[in-house]
Amino acid sequence: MFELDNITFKNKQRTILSLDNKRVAKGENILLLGPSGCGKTSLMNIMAGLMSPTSGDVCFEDTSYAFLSNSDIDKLRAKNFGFIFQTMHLLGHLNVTQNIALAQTAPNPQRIQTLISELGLTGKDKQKAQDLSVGEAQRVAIARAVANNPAVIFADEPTSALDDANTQKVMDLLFDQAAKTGATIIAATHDNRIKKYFDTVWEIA
Amino acid sequence: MTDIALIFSSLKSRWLNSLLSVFLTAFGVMLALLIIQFGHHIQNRITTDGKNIDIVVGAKGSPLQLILSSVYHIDIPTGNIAYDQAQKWMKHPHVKTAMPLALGDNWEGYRIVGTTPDYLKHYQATILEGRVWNKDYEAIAGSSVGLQIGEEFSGAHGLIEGGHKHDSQHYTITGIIEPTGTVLDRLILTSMNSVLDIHGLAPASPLKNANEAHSQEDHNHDHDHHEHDEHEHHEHEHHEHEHHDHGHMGKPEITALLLTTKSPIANINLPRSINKDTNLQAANPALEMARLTSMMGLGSQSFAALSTLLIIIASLSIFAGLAGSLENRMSDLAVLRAIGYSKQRVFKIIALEGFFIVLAGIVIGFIMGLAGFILASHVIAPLAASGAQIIFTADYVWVILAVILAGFIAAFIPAWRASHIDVARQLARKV
Ligand SMILES: Nc1ncnc2c1ncn2[C@@H]1O[C@H](COP(=O)(O)OP(=O)(O)O)[C@@H](O)[C@H]1O
Ligand SMILES: [Mg+2]
Repeated sequence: MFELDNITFKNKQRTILSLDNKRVAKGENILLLGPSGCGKTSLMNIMAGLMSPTSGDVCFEDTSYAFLSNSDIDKLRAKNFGFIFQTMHLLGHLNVTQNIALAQTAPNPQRIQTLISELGLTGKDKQKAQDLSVGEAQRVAIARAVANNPAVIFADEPTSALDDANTQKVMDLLFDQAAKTGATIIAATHDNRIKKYFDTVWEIA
Repeated sequence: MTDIALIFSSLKSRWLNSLLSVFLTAFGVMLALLIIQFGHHIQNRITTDGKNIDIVVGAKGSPLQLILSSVYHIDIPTGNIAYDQAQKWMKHPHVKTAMPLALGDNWEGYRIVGTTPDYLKHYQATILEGRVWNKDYEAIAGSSVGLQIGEEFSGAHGLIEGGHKHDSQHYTITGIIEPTGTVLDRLILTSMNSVLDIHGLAPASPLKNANEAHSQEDHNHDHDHHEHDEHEHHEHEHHEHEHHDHGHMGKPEITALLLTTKSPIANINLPRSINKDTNLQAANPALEMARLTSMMGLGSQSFAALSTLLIIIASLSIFAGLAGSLENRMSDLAVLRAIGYSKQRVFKIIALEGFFIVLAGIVIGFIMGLAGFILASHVIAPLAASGAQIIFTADYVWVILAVILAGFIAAFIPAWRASHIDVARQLARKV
């Protein structure tokens, strides 16, 4: 699914990220594990085409990002990737349904309804995102990430703000949804608790 | 979720800001429309009322005042002229038609004009009901005056409402003039003799009541009505008896003479010789009104500048509204970009937000402008009297285009910035 070809990422001061060749097979759930500031988010952004690496190349399904225009990458992302951002980033003035709908390239209200009930958000569908609790917002973020049935779900620190019980719940929901659509999960964390959910762990130094 | 729904939700979430921008735009549009409307109205009145009147002859003074008072009936006359002197010019070989006017009184603010039926003919006005006067103290009323056939009334001294009433002499309405869209609509016309008689200046007929007659000298000094009222009062208290038969000494006088000529050359030559060789004044309405409009043009230019300024302020407010809110919305926009919204789509969303504000502003501004004009044309007496009407012109299209352009420029920079954000950096922002 993914082929990473000698990715490096440097800023002015230092080299943040330097990887040898890496591959991600379809359905292989990957955890990027490492301390804060090691470059996990940067790597996910590079894999999702939100940032360019300093050197090296990313291929998704045999398409090299180096050969894609910006708008092609936008399209690829819209079609294939779902995101759970580190700080959730729902649009506060939109309600739950609308936030989920943002991610759908073709409107599918039925799918949104299913997600809302599966993620325990029944009755909250018309509530503004800014009025949700953290736990509810987290679940809306998961719903939005899977709403378009993406091939890959990127989840950045999905559990860092949660206690053990909620970590368990969120991971179950996420993997449950991924299993239903056959999505590959690529998550980043400094939280060793969730190691056990993943097939492969990339330790980032 | 459609982009339109997203835009409205976003505008609603900043409703105070959005509303401010909408109303600033609306005020700019409203002002522009009012300027256009009033400008057209004035221009219209100037051309229809002054049509084909080539020369105005009256007492010396300001030529503009002479024309405004005798052609447009909106200023006070410069004074009176002797009728026999005027007659010499009425019969001049270069003169085609001549309409003498005798002013001096009003009924509820509507001027009573002593003249000849030629005055009606000039405006191609016909009598809607009844007939033209055929003896003294019969009168016909313009369509806006509101007098009915058979109604009796007495004129009040002066040309605006509230002068001393000539109670002893009653006019009777014998006819109503059809609506003409000209100054005739708000005049009461009667015979020359009626007006002269009431002021004790009739050529032949003896005075009916010397007590009520006013000396023509008073008229001549009559330009300030407050002063006049005091004067009048004064006169009646202290000099009543001395003035008793003042009127007997009056020689027939009229206020002005409207002439049409046989050739354009006469339009230049006649006034020249009148102004040079007599103590009369002759003025060319077309010339004077061109002077006035160029003066007013200066005024309407400053109005135009004002409405341009308002439109600029409105676009600045749209700009400030969009650009200011952008700071808070960067992470929202980054989310949209991350989940696959293209740069163009984000640009479109922000630009459309500006566009909807402009659109709402134009619609509301239009409604306010038209409503304001209709209200003004009912409430402001001169507008009501002159039958101000809404006229749609190409200027409207220009106003709309200018506002849309201004709005687009205002929205462009925020939209461009929004579409070019660094997505990864915005997503990493902790605050
Ligand atoms: N777009 C960028 N340009 C330059 N430096 C960046 C950029 N994004 C992140 N960094 C830097 O890279 C380092 C790693 O950041 P990040 O990838 O967020 O780490 P992690 O997610 O592992 O905590 C940080 O020092 C950060 O300042
Ligand atoms: Mg991170």
